[in-house]
Amino acid sequence: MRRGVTILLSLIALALPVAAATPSVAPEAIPLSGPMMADISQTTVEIHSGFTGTQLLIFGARNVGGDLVIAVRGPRANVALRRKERIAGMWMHVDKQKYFRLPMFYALAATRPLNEIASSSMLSRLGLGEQEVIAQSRAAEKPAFDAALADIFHRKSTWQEPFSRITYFGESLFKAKLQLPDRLPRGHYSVEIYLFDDGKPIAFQTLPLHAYKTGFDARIYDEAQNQPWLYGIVAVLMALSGGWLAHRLFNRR
Amino acid sequence: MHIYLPIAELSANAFGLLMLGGLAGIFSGLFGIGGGFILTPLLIFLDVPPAIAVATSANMIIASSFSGFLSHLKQKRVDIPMGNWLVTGGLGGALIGVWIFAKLKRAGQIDLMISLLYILLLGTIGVLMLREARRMFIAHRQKAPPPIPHYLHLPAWVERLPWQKQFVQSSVTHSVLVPITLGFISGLIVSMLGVGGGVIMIPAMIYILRMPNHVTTGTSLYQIIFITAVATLLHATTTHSVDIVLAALLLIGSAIGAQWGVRWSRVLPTYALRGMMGGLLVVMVLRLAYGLFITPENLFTLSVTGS
Repeated sequence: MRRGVTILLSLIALALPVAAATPSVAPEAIPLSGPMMADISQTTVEIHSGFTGTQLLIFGARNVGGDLVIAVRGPRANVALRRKERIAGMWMHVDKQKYFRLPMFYALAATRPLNEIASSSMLSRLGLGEQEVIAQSRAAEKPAFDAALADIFHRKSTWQEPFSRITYFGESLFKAKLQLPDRLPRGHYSVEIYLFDDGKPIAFQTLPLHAYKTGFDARIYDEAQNQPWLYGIVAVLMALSGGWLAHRLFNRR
Repeated sequence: MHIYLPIAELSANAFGLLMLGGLAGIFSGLFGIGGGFILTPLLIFLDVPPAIAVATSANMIIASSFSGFLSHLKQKRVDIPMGNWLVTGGLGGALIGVWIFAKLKRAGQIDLMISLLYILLLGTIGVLMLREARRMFIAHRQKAPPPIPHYLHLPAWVERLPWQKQFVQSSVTHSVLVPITLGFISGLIVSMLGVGGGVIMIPAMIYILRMPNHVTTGTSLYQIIFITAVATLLHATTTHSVDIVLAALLLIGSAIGAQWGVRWSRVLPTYALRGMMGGLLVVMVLRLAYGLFITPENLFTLSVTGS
């Protein structure tokens, strides 16, 4: 997964005509040389049993004018979206659309509408904007499916566009707040910050964010994934001993 | 008190889950069914993802069946050899059923197939049981001897099959191929519907194998233990969808509930038991049919196919 992110970041960097920064895994070591520098309030999100969501602060400074775009992408998965239709009175699945490597979390904020910041070909190259995110993973062009897909993610707040306003303090300081929802997908996230000028990105930075489960629940989850046989046997033995115990309790003479 | 379910990834009321398990357990001990066909839809209703609801129900059913089985065994109301042959066929059927399930799932029609199978099968059995219960009740009122059940007449060649065996506990003679086949069909349906199979096995024992009432409940529970244990292991190792915390809460309730069910099954007359189960099946079927025909809240369903 982490390797996947690194490859992805390298590709984004290559796609940029002016790569101002080399993607780095450690957010502390940002080899930023010029126009913009940014950071996030936390690099990890602990999903514990009482997790109800948390707020992520994205902040930074820029030396030159231009438009800012912040995109946050979560772990990816292949999904299938199926549509129901009424046939002989019954509702059944009739049609489906596949989406490959679709981000299970996606949020974007920009200082102006995206189409005013850069050309559609540039936005497409960088995968910015919900339309682009969908277009890059869909198997075929079926507009009704795309709208329904976005709707499902919006309702869970795992897709947000725009997630908030980017506010400025004076000429150079900026910040944006991202509310991460309670049902946050586990995995690796990347927070991408772009500075556009005259339709071209003149600075780019990416910061990793990791959401993971903690505590007793996380241990159970890990066991179920990593030791499925042991987990299954424990589950069966637990049930058998529960049944035996209840029998003994009720049939004591 | 709310408790977090690590696999289902949601919080649920622990007391409510205990009660839910208890309800399933009572049905289990009373009728010799697993209780999954009541529990699974209720868990889905509580927002538990369907795959996790099915797998976790299987895990819980082991406890209620084992609890009920031990009590029936103590009263010598279990036909162990018959149970063993049913299990033999059942495991084979379950494995093939899992394979068909995966095929249908890929085609995206699994929900509809499950619902239609449920309606057809449970509806037929439910109506048959209600009719039987009515006949028994009338005979009871007229102080007449209980009527002989409407046995299913097997073709003559079935009686000539090899490996005839006398089942002492049930006082019947069958070729072992008969329980193996019945077990196989039941196992096939079990793995596709995600329930323990008692609902199918009990009528099969009464109407096809002609086993006396008092041994059917215990024998059914006996074979359910094996089928659900294998199902739990299969779910745990392939889909990782067994939620052990959810199962633990449910099984405390169900193991205790099963004991109450066994007690009541001894007190209640046969016509009442049969009528209650028939009525329950018909209600379940009506609920399912209703779900098929009303307009769904969202016409689109999303499923993760890989990462």
